[in-house]
Amino acid sequence: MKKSILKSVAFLSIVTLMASCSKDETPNKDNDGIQNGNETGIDCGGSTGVTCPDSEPSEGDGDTNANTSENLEGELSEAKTLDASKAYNLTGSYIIKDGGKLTIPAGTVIIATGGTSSYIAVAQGGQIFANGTAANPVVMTSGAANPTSSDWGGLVLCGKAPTNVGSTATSEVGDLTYGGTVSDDNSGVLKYLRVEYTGAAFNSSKEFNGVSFFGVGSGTTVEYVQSYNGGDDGIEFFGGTVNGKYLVSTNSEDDGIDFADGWQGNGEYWYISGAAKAGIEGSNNGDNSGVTPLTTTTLSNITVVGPVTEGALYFKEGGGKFTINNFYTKGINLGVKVKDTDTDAANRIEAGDLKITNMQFDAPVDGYKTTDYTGATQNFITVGENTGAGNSAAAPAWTAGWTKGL
Amino acid sequence: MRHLLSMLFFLVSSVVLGQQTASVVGALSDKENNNEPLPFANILIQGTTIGTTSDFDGLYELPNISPGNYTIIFSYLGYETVTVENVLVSEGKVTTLNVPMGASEGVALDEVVITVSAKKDSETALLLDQKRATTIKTSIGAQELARKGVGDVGTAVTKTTGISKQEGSGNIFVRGLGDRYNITTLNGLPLPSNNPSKKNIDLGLFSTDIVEFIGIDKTYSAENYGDFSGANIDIVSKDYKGDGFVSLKVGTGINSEASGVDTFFLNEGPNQHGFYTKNYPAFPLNNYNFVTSWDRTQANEPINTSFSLKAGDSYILGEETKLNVFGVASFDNGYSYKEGVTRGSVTVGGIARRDYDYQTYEYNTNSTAMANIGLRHRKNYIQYNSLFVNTSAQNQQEYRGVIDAFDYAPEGGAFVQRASYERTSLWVNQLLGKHELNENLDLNWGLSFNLIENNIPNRRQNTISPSNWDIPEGPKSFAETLNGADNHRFYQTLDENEMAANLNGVYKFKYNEDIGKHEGKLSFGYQGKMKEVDFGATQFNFRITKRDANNKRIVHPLITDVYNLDNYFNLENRLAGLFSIETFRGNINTPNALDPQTYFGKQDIHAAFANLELTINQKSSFVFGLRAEDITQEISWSTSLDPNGDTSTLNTFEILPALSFKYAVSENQNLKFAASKTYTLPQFKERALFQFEEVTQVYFGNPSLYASKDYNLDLKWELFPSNSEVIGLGIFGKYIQDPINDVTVNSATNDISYVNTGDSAKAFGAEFELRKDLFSSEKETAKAFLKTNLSFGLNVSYLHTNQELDGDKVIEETTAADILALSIDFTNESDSLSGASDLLINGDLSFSKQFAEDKDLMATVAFNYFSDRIYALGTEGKGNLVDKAVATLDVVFKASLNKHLSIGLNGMNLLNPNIVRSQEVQNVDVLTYKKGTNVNLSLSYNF
Repeated sequence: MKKSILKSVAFLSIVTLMASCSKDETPNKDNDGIQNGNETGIDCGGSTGVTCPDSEPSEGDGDTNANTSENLEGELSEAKTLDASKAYNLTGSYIIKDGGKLTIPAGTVIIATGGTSSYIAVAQGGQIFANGTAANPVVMTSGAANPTSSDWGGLVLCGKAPTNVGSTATSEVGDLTYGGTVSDDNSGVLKYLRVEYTGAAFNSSKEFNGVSFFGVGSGTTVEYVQSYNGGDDGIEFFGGTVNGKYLVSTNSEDDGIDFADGWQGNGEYWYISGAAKAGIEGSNNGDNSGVTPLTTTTLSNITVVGPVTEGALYFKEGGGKFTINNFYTKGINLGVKVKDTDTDAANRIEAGDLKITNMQFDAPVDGYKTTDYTGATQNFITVGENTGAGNSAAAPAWTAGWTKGL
Repeated sequence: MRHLLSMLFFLVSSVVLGQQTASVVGALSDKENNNEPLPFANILIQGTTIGTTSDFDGLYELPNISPGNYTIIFSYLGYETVTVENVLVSEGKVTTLNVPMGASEGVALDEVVITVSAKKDSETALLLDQKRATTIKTSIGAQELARKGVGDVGTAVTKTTGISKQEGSGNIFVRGLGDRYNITTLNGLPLPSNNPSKKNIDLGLFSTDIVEFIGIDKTYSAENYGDFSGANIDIVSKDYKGDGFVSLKVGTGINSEASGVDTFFLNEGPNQHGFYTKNYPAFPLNNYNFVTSWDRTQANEPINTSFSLKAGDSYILGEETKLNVFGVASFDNGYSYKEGVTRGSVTVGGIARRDYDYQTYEYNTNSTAMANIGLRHRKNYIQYNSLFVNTSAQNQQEYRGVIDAFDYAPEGGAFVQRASYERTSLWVNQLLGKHELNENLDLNWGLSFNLIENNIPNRRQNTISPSNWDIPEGPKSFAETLNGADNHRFYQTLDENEMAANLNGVYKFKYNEDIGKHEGKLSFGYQGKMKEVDFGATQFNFRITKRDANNKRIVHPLITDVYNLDNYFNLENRLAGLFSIETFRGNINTPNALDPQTYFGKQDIHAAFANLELTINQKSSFVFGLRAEDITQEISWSTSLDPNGDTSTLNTFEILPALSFKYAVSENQNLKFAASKTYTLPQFKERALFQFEEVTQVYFGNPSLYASKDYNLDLKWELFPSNSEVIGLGIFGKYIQDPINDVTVNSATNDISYVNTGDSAKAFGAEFELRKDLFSSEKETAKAFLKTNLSFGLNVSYLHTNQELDGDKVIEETTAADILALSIDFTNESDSLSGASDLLINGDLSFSKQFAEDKDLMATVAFNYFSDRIYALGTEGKGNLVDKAVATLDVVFKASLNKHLSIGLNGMNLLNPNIVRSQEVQNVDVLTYKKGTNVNLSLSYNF
């Protein structure tokens, strides 16, 4: 009897011991001819103590002069003007709150060093004035020695203009509210702004776009804005009424320019190249594709340089009411993509809400289609020659001086 | 067939048994010494070797004896031996024999008092408790759990009226009220939760091996914490008093779905026993230092096993001191397999944006060890309980199909796999004391310190889509991967510790000599619990590189074998620049990239209460209680988007009255009434303004969320036709002011938040319970009475719930709070409570027959049904997600072959119905599977 009790006590201790066992995955660090551990080259660098023959020190631009550099992080609730002669490190999130006003003079460079947490967000009631010029744009870029897409977050604006996801809604980023009834809401000015290497993933399904406009109103000016090597969409509009003019999306890893959720703005002079999925993605609402207000836009003078995998335009999730004139494409396999199960998008097309005039298919991929829409109405596209954003497939004149990689 | 053979082999090569439940207890008094207790007297059952010695209090117990008719002999050196004949000992009963002993004069047999009562874990005892209590309560004891073949506490509570369990989540719904409305305690002291987003611990973690009985209090009493409206579920752990015993049980079984697959697969890494942990390697962002495989590995034959060893004994330590010890150690594991469809983000137009066929291989373990030590010294009793539970859940999930009908492998052909292993270790320590200070005053206290650790080490996910999305059957490639997180490894730790203390005095007054009891009782005291939660998670995302340093598109290899992804995610391809490794905080260039996303929470509740219990006359008694609680919640966090973090605090003070009234209509008939006010607190995570990610869904807290107020009303009539029979009928009503729901708020990404969704929710319903002996007979033989019994049990609850869903209220209140305005477009203006089935039915038919003294057979058929219930409320024109009605049927056999050996055979979930979750309005099934029939065979051996 007593022995059995001893046994059960022994079992208890074994159980406890087993519970406390754990082991790390320890990488090899020996001279084995492969790069492992924290080695920076083959059997060199890192904790091996052997210096790599050809290693590049990756100490970044850093704080070489304390007087000329400043960290941006936290919240701004008042007016602040940056100084183009200073280097700005975006070390964390920088949120321009209601009443806050950030003015960025021409030539200012903001370097993101904080990974995902490096992003600039303008909350409802806040304003940003990026006052670049063609010769001296405002640049927001990565601080990495070898920058790549998704090095940091991006730029997010939240306004009070209507969307079709409810009277107000919460943005993907920073738990900010957006949307409302103020159509002419003014979030400031973005002019001659280049945003590079954005698109960090902030949760398992979402990454930052280069520039995101959430319910931004028509009082806001958006002209001459480029997203370069963004990890998600280049530029995206989530509802709102702001117009976008002279927009450039280069090498985005998702769509070039995307608008959704009842955007009611217009676009002119868009130059899109290197987009991985669709050149332009226009949708109404991903959950309720027939909901109003419908995404409604007039676009003109658009260039999409392929290849694209989801069409030069993806008319998606109920689409909306689009009028597009002078739509130049090059090297694409599909003009307008419409998903066959998207009955609301089909309804819009049948109702004559999608009209594309002067669409050019320059040097298309063999076997290209103008559209994969299979419904009755097929005449919503008229083909015609045009120069798109101004210079057909080549970079238009208005991109000179402030853009990158065209 | 192979399974059957190995099962038989396993059984034959093991030893086993069954524990009988009858016992004789009593007190011996010393006629030579003013009837003081007589210790060290011998007690022996004539013709057997079963015997014991009385303790300091003159108390003795002959536990675990077979039912029958005995002659018991009491002897003490120098005293006259007393022989009591014809002591009837019946199954499940405790026969009490109080014997006065003297030196010379003979003892008249009429001085010997024989009473028969029931053991605490038996159904009759619990029924008796229910009958005597002024409050409305239900209990389910070890005996009933064994009869119904129930292995864990989670399933156990669903055998009682009005309680159901949500598929997959372990959430318990009591009268349609979910997790936030319930409280779980162990021996009256609170238990921490194993899941950061839940208030209650998963009851499935507790094996019934540790259970004496489970008390389910659906009405509120001031002695309980007030964050309550559904039920207070108190697990009372086994306590042992009596002679030493050892019992061993082993079992084996199969699940029909698991054994139906050709080859069973699991993850690389975790071991069979479930005590595995793994940290990420040093320098995880450099090169490729991960060692464990991405790919599934072949597992053992899916044969379930179980083992448990129980032992207990009592020791006499000194003149007036006695020590009881009890220990149980058990291990069980189980394999299961699910397949079906799973769909997500079904649009208003009925398009399932995510649409997969899936297969999941699962392997679970539970290791439990409990020890309790009780020390009695005079009128003081101190008990120490230590419970350790380690559970693990491992699964290999594989999905094939459309990731997003508009955006990601829209024509199908994608392959997503997730290798997941979750381990929970719980360690509960309790010190409890009871002291009879004098005739009128008792002092009770309890202290507990609990630790819980929940780890998800090295969860791995891969997402791969067709190289050309328009050709779903074509070769696959990572080139089209959309999000950096599509291929990842995830590490999570949750540490929670809770200290709790109870201290209460009981003042007894108004002694009634006729019934030998005090008619008045005033309890008053303090209760406090202080909890800390520390959560940290890091995810390593394997971002597929799209362009090289020269901005050229990178060509990624075609993947022909999705079960060999180590061939892609390896050092060579990392050095070739095909992918990079980053966390949610950033890549290797980000200084704090390896800091986990964290939150730290603290909750302190301090309460004072007074409870007056008074018998007015023979028929009426009442309990009136008042409680005051002071609550402080604080949470601070740091996440990728908010690295510096913030803190959110809630303070509230609640005054809670509770009244119960009992009227005994007759000797065996009661009418009971209860009314109370309680509250429902937001969980602290729900008020924190930050994004919290759970597998595939993003949640964020709402700082303007506030507590709901609950008003509870119960009326119950119960009739006890005999000791083992009951008929009960109850009605209840609940009014919840400003109820809290988790719902999808308007956002670009369908995030879920927590909101006070309307002005009120109402629940009312009727509950019926019946336990009836259909047939009962006794046959007398030379050695025993042989019983045959057929009984029927039924409980039915009908529930009507309704809550207002008011989008305007949400906007108004969250806007007024001026922190974060939220809006929700509810599909319906009012709806049922989520988790509430209109109809719940539990029925069972039990047959038992004794063939000889040590030979018996018991068979039970148990039936359970719940009607459709809402899983999640619909918004923006999308229908509610509804779990469809499910009926289950279990059959349990137990047979005792002789004094030592018994055998059990269970068939669980024989109907094996389709489990379906469906989105209403659009009428799209979003989840389907079958759980499979479980067949288990067990052997028990009593030493």
